Amino acid sequence: MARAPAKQAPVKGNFKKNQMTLWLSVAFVTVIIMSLPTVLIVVFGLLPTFVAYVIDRAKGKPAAYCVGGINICGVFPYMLQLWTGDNSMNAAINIMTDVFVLAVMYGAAAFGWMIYQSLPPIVTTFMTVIAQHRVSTLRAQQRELVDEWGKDVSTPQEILDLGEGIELVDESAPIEEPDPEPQAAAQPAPEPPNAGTAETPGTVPGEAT
Amino acid sequence: MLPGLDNVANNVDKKLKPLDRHIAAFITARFRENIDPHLAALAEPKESSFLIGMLSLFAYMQWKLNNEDLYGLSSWVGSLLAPAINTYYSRSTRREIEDELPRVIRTGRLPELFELVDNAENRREDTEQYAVARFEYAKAEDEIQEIETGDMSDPETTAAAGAKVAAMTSVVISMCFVAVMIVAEVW
Repeated sequence: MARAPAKQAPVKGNFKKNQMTLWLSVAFVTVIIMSLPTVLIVVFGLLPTFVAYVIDRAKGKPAAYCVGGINICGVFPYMLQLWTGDNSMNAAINIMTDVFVLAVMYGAAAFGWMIYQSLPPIVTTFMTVIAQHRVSTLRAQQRELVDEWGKDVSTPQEILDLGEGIELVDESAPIEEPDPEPQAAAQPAPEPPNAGTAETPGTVPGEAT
Repeated sequence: MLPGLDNVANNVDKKLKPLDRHIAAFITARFRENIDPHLAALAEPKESSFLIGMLSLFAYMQWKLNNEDLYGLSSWVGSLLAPAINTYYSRSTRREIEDELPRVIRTGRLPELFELVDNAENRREDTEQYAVARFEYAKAEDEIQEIETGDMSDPETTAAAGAKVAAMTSVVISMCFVAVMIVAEVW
């Protein structure tokens, strides 16, 4: 009983899918009948694109897009010629039997393929250079921080917490290694006295007490 | 007491400290003020804490007793203050204090010397900025690790990104070309 609705859902989906396929087929046949010359040019002119689509196994079919984009650039002028002139099968056949036209269409596709082959390494190199530049910038920032604050600045907080009380060696300290807890070290010391005079006494250690 | 130390300051080894337990006991016995915080600082095992405690005690005494300027004692104490100065994290702050130190020593005023070496505001800023610096360092390190071991370092990912860029370039060229052709034809 519980399985019945589950079975019905795919049937509905299939029906919709079949309906859509049907309508698309009708539309396709209509287009072919109405503009058969254009379809002829598209089918033969964009053959490299179809091939690229079939052989491209990469996600998103970038080769097909790359070849197709430039291939269209080679095919479109002749489609336009057809649409603005004699839009007949004879004209389409004349166009497709011209070697120069085929050279333009397939040459454009070849150019698209060349872009697909040559551009990714350039982009990869560019991205690598940018990444390396960013890394060197960050390293320089870190060096500046170490120069200003000492090597302890690179120690993670967890390690500092673990090593609380252990003084880390600071090479840049001229006389004594730095105190990792200056506040704690200064805490027992009373409040700093102002450099006050007898007339204008400041806060002096022990004064409050 | 302080004038006595000031007098002998020029004739002693400056590496010696002007305050030991006997002098501290003498001061505790004679000086009728509450100096417990100073003594607590003197009892700290850290050299820097001892020096700051000693300086604060002398500064307090000089201010409270209205002693005249103590040039010799200032110089003596000032020559011992390097460990106390080095408790600052910031190298530039240390340099600033070290640059300013001779001038303050020449005034003979120990309160000014204490103010220079252990200014509470400077301490607070130093600690806060140190925390910020550590955070920035860790952030930079994370970003470096992300670049070096993340997607950016994977050849397949970069190749896929390059292929996408190529496809986009091709499509854009195509669209521009078709648009130009149509416009040229309509015009």
